Amino acid sequence: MNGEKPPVTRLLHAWKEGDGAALDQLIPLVYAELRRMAASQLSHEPAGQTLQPTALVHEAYLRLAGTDDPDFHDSAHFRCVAARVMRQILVDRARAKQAAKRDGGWRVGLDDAIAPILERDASLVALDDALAELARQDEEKARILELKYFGGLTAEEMAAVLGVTLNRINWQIRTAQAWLRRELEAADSKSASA
Amino acid sequence: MRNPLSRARWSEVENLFVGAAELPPEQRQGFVQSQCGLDKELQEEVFALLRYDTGGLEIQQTIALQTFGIRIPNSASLLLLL
Repeated sequence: MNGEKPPVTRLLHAWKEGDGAALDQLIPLVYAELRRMAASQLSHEPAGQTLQPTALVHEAYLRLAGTDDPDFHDSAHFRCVAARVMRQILVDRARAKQAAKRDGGWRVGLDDAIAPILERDASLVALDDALAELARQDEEKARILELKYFGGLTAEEMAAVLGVTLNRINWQIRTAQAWLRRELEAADSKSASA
Repeated sequence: MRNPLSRARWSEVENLFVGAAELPPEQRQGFVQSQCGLDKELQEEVFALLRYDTGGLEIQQTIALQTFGIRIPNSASLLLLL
């Protein structure tokens, strides 16, 4: 690389300095890498394999930044971008699979093996819906949980990236999780009685 | 789908939730009741959140609670994977 920074690092720095266009260039890069890695991981693993979104996002950063010694701030900023992308990829996939099942596109006999995955897809879609509901009430908390679940950011990393105290982040997480559990249970009982 | 609370209302709920959650469990109900006065709706919102609070435990730890019969929603089990 002739001593030059990889594009992802350059774009992350430009974005942090307020260059909005850098983010527009960053997202397709992150999207392509995460899609590729998710597909490759799923094709090499037995059925029922669980994607680990936060591990994937972390690995994507190491690959794109060309390092195995990640910079704390760069890595956290990268995963802020990647969290949204990862959520999109996983939820789109889960929704598509649910739709395929509804359309009868599943072979007979496959259902038993696939049932745990379908259940997980339904849960993922339920989580996505609940996070969207939370965003209607409190956008910051929804974002924080997205960073936690899909980007794997720790509370310390969120505090650094968002420029707020660790104590505030911890309470935001705790409140948001209580809200989310309540919402998911309400959604569960609604679908059980439907 | 519930309608979101107004910003001011949500902020009240959140402040009372945090205030109560910082207290020992046996003091929470009295605290919320005294702060809410006659506002039963506010009281109910705060209690609803407190019911789903795990005391700041990481979600992975709630699986242990679940095995002791404390119910968490099915969909929340997904959070264990994330």
